[in-house]
Amino acid sequence: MRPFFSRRARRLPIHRLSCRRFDHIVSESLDRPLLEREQIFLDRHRAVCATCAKLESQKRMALNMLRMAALDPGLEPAPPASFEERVIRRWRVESIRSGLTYWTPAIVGAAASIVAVLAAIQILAQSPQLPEFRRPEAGAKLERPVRNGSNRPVIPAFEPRSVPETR
Amino acid sequence: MNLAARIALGAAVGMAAILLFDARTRPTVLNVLVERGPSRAIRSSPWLVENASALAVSADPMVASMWMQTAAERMETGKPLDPHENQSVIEMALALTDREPDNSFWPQMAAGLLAASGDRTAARRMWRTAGVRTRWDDYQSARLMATAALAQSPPAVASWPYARAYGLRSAAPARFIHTYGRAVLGESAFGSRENTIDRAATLRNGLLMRDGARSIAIAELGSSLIEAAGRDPEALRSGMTPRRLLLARHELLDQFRANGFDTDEALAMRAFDTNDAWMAFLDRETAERRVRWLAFGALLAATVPSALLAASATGVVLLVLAAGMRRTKGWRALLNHPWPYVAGVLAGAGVYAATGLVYACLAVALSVSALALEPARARTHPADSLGPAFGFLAVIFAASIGGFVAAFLVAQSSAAVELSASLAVAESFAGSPALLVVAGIVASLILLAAPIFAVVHRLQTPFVLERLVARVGRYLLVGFVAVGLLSVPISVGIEHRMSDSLSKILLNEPNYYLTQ
Repeated sequence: MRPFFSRRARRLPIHRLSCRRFDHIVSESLDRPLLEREQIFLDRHRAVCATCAKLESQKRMALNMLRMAALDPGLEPAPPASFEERVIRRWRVESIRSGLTYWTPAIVGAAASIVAVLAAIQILAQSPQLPEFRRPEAGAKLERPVRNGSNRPVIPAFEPRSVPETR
Repeated sequence: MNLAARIALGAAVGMAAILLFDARTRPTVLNVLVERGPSRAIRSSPWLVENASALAVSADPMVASMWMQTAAERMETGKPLDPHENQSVIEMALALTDREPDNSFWPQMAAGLLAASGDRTAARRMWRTAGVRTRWDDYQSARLMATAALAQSPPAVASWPYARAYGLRSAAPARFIHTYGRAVLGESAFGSRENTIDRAATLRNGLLMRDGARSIAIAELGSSLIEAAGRDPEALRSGMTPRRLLLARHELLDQFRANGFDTDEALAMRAFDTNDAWMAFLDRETAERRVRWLAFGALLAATVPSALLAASATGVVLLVLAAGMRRTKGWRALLNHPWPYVAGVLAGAGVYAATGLVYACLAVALSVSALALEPARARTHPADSLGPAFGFLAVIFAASIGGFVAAFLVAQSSAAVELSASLAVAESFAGSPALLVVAGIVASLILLAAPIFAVVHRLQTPFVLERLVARVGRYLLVGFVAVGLLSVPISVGIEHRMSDSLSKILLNEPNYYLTQ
């Protein structure tokens, strides 16, 4: 996914696209003969983009070195048996370290936002002077329970006393 | 992801976590998801007449207050009580008259009820008894405060239950007392000793009601009763002028003096003076308008942050849709003739069936059909950027779609359903999907905008459509989450201030304005 806030993407969209294409075609050139128009593109881009030209030459140099090492095993002594394991371990440590380094700004941002929100709530959400409500104590006594659940009209009907008294 | 994006992402995650963890802010974050439709707390309150299917006979003043309210409302609506009901309510009023020897509300209600049952002598005796008491409390504030407290979830504070409870106060008992108080003045000849005693009692009862009222509407009735005590109904029938009113007041004072009611004379002078101040101090319309605004603010404070956060899910849906469009190419065949027109007709018919709106149906049908538009010769290597107008349009779409979805969610919340009557919004609107349909219509305009940009930039329509959907989704997600999270602490602060004002208004409205 392209970064949302990528400064480079906003500044050099077309240039970046052609660099990517250059990189792709250079990789392809290692596996198959290029078309004429692809070769023309490589030449033109190499002429205007020094970074891509340098990266291409480094890539080719590294590949040549690997090829030479593969063809002539007597050039260097064989690596120790634990070499591969150490390389993998080192790679893992590096990847974790780089991951932590990469996400450190996010962790700092999270911590800062938590502190800021807590402070804001502390300031803004101070308890208002809500009036206290106390139910009046008047010897409340329900002589009959309130009936619920029946489908009566909204205005409640009175519950008449069974033996009406006259006053 | 660059540095700023990582910091922003971390801040958003941290903020969301703490806002969900803190009990003071959690209800604000989850409001529209948790509290939908009619409020269970308000609708199950045992202290509201509206919730009771039947009332039991009780000496509890809270229950008795519900009886008095129901009796007064029944009489107002022309549904007289049957003899058993009348007997019960009179007995309760008399029992509370004895139980609370200082509260004039019960004997006032008893007087009105006795008069309604035909016992005028007992009614007048009770009316005079009420006049010598020292306070007036109809227990509505206590009942409404108890109801509002049921809708709270401490330590979080919600202000809308107070606004809702304010609208549930009934002035029917006060109107019932006011009607009897005016009627009793005409039961004896003006100027007679009996009439003078009745006037003194009415003035005292009016004064008690005005000073003990917890709402301006009820206080105005008390104030009106004080004025009525000074008037001769026959003499003033031809019309009232300030001069006549003043003369009537002095006439009453003369009557008190002539009959040796010195205490009542002093009381009447004070009552008339303070009554003028009272009427100049407050008017009901201004107070009601103020409460309506406070209720509107309470509704927004309670629901907007959670509605914004929930509406950001629409952005996720659009992003998933755009990713699906990018990965699968088969759907592009649907944009060949005549499928866009067929889809347009079907979509338009669907919208018409759902809404019955002709213009909405046409808008959707034309938007979908517009997908058939494509440049004659499209570029093979499109540029990465489609210009600032494309971004601006995406912002407008994101704001409109998210805004309507958020408004829909607000309208479904318990606060909106309960306050719709107070805010003069049709109750059916609070539960209708109209706002969601509008959001859908706005979203369909994306289908119209994409081909236009495709033709202008000579790009394939599916390519532009996928870009536009993704951009709208991204803006909607990021924008609404950011605004939603930032608005939560602000909303909590507003809720506290609103609760302070609304609860004081609910508890004692005249006193709230007096102390402002």
